[in-house]
Amino acid sequence: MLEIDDLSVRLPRTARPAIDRISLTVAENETVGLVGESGSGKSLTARAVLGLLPKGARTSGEIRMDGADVLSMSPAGLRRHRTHAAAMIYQDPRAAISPFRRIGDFLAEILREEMGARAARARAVELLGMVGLPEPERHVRQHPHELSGGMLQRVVIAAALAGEPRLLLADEPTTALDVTTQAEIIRLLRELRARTRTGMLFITHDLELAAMICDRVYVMYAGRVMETGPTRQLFAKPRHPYTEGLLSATPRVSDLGTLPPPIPGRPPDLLSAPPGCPFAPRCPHAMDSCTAAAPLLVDGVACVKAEP
Amino acid sequence: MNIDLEVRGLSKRYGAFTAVDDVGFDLATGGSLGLVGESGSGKTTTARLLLGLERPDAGTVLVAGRPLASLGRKDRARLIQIVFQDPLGSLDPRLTVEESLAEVLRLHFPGEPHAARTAELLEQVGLGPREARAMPRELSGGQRQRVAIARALAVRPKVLVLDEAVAALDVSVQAQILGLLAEIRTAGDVSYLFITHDLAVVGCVTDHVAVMRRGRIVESGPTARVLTAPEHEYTRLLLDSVPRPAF
Amino acid sequence: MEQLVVRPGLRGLTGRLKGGGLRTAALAVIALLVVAAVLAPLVAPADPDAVDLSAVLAGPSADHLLGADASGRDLLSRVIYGARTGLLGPLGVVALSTVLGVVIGLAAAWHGGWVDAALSRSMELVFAFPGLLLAMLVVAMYGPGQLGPVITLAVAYTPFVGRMVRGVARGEMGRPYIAAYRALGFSGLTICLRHLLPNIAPVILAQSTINFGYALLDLAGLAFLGLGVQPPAADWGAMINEGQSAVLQGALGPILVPGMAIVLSVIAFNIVGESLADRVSRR
Repeated sequence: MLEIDDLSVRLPRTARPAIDRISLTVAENETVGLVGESGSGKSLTARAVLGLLPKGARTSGEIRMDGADVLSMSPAGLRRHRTHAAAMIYQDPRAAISPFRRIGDFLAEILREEMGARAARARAVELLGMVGLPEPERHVRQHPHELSGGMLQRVVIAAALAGEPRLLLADEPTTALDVTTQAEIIRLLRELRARTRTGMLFITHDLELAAMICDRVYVMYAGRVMETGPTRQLFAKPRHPYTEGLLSATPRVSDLGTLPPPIPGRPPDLLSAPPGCPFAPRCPHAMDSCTAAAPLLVDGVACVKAEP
Repeated sequence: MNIDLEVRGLSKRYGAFTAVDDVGFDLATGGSLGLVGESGSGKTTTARLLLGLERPDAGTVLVAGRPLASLGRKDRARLIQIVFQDPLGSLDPRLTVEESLAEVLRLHFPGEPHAARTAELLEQVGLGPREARAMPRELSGGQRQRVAIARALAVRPKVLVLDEAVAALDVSVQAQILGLLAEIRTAGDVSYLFITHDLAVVGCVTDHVAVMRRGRIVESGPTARVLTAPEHEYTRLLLDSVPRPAF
Repeated sequence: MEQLVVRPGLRGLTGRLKGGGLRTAALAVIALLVVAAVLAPLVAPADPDAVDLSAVLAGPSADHLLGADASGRDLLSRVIYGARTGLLGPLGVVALSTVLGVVIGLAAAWHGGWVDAALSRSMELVFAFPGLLLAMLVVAMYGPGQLGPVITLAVAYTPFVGRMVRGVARGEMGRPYIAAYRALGFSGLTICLRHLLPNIAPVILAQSTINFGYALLDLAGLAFLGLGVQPPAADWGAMINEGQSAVLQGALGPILVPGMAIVLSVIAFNIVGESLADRVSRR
């Protein structure tokens, strides 16, 4: 359904591509995780899928949604693409909804053009019911400040569902929320998938969270895909030293009293372009050849030391 | 066992809203206490009350047996310090790392040469002379947080409050800072109050934990007991909400 | 910065014209004004008060590059000398109002509570009186001159600066480094002067630059009404006042020349102020 093929994005005044030759697919009814730290290019990938790249960005490669090339779409085509093909769920629901408009108007606005005002209103109520808000008729008349963060994120999800998109892009959809609310939203996303069969690209920095909801995971670092595979396999037997390091660096409730071993160093910023594998300077297994040329993604892992 | 921080009956109201309601806990010398809660639980207000950034409506805070309310600002500062969540916002954007530290040393230890102490502090948090001359915006998030920790340690406090101090950092960097904090605690006599929403972090670095909800402490005890056999239903809900793989 | 006070008409104008080249031009105009004011005796072609009866209301010529006024005084020289009172007056207004505004704004922001309430109310009280009206009142009581209007306008401008400083300071105080310094035991005064003020100084500078233009306009207005600098001193406002009779005789020069000087300087200060503000908000 979504196919990203050898995509590179280079932003103005940077030393290395922010996205460096990544390929990725999402099928119908599949949830795919895009996991990475800050500066890994994961959010930029989502924006590229929506055709929302910043001005001056140079791209190569292709992004195809059901065969249609997103990067060459007309403005009208992009608008349709963003409601019916791929819809975004943002990190901070309070920033995504205008504080002065009623919830119902916010939702109806997306649909009014196509179905008329009355039908749009009815659909808004229906959508709010779908995302598990207890009293949809009351909520459509409320303003954003009357709702909690978790309820607002449900509204944002309802808005994303409004155009019955084939693909949902969730960019850190629970990072701004409390832990208990996060659990509720994740449960909701799971239910919705079972009901609507939409595909989802789930972007997060939290490996554990990705493991909760994703069928497959791509691990990104410095604009590249380091490793990809079915979630269970990737967690049980990480093959890239970065995935391995990230997994062991994540604190777990079950690991009482033990400190997670850190990965030394820090992720590279966009202003430096280290030669070879971007993870080499932090990698415990790095060899001379690692800084010579960046290994390609072969069989789901981009590391010369990876076992087949 | 000696108590570094003793809090009793701490309360703070804003109009009709009670942000902190009769909160009390002990932090043993050299110990590490987690204060866990979600947004609106009152954990950050509690931190601000402890640091004297807000005035409590009721309650007492003793650090090393001395009541904070009766101390001057410099004496209080030498007993309890804080590291905030936002590493960039915690540093004056116009001062180099060196200047930030030197200023604190000048205030608290006037007359003593501070160049050597600055270098020592930076080394303690794993920074070198290159970072010493850098402006905050030239550093990474983890490096900035190291500077904030060094600055707090400069006054040699008894208690260090860490208010979501690792929450804004990348996972790989977060583990570095947690390791650094553990190192500092073993090396010197400082005790930690870890304020966080993250139960996994609490499990790694604290020996006791108090769970806050709507301004009150609903459960407290040794971390191992609270995280494995929670008694309060809210603690159970928090634990169940921690993401864990579906398989 | 949204808290910057810009009079609506000028905002539209400078907003539309803004650009890199324009800022350079505005800076050049200001530099030219300063040079003219400081080096007036050297750069002015003639004595601004020298009467040349053969050139009464003359148009531009080799002798008088911009023409002469009804008394035959050289307009170019008078405009150059006019830059002195033209810049000195606003400088006084801006310096005084900035110092007062910063003190009041910081005190209100830092202390909050009743101090904030009292200071904010008193600033609103001053707001209620238009600065020009207040200045006229002072002139009516103490007689015309430069000093009275400058002090009065400074008082009238103070609430603008004070309110802006209060707003920006409160925003900056929300950042954790201020709380960190408080927790480290620094006194409020030290934090305000050494950390808070330097970090909000660029915004204050931007507002003061814009205020400079307005003060120039207001002082020229007062001089034009005969309430500020008095003729025969070479002052732009006073020159326009004197030039009124020339218009009746068909000569526009005596009004146009100082008028253009005023308009150009006000616009120049506005452009520079706004571009400073732009740069601050981009940071």
